[in-house]
Amino acid sequence: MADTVIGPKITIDGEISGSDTLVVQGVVKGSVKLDATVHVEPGGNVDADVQAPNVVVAGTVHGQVTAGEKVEVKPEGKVLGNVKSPRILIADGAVFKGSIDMDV
Amino acid sequence: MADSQTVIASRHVVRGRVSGDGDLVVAGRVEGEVALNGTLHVEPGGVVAADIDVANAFVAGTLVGSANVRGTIEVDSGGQLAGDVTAPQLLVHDGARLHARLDVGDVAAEPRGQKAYVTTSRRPTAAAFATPRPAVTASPAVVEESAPAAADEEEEAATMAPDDGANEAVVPEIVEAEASAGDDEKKKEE
Repeated sequence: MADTVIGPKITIDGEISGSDTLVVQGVVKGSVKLDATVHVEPGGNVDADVQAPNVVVAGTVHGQVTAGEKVEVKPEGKVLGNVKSPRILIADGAVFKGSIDMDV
Repeated sequence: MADSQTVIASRHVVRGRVSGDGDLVVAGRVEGEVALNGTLHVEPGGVVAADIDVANAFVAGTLVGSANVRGTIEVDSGGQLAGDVTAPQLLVHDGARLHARLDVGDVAAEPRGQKAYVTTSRRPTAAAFATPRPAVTASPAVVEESAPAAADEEEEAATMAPDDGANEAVVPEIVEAEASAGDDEKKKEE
């Protein structure tokens, strides 16, 4: 499986780009631009603008999220920023502070 | 769990700084800086074009940049290494390609523990620095002036002798030739 996994004690300060799935358990600052799904796991912290077809947030995302297909915020998830996506799913218990624009 | 592992997949590019604890496996591309308390594995096909500061490194792909490795850096047979490398231990397998400046371990041109040169007979003694007494002239005033001056010189000579002795005691401990040359210069200045 070609997945990029960013471990819990790793910090990436910069840009991540590519066409493989990204799983964030650590800290990512800067920008994320992928052609594949971004999973932010519990404990993961993304302080960046995220652009990907699918974004699944079970950790914290602080930034603009632009999804081509769907954004899913899990019960442990936190989104602080604006989301632009044709579909969005926010589970009960999730934290959301920002605007949602579904007119993509 | 033990050290976590971070994997950069083959179709990913990370531009910036990667830092933290744990191992990093790069199958994709990392540009910028890598600072880890763990091992950097560059997989075949992986490229790390960055300045790295890691505990260990295993390069089966390409590593370009300034590498500061605290443990071992190993370059596998398909690996490529370019840049400045500083590490206590380097392992290079047959087939590896290197275009690097290496700083691996200490290199001593002379066997350790051997004194380059010290002999006390070559050390200048206090007498060499004593200025000669001025000749006594007919004028008594001049004689008086020169007497205290002579006394000063004697004091100087007396104070220099213990210095000399102290230096002699210290010198046998100094192994390098440069340190004793420095002492000589210091004495000449006095």
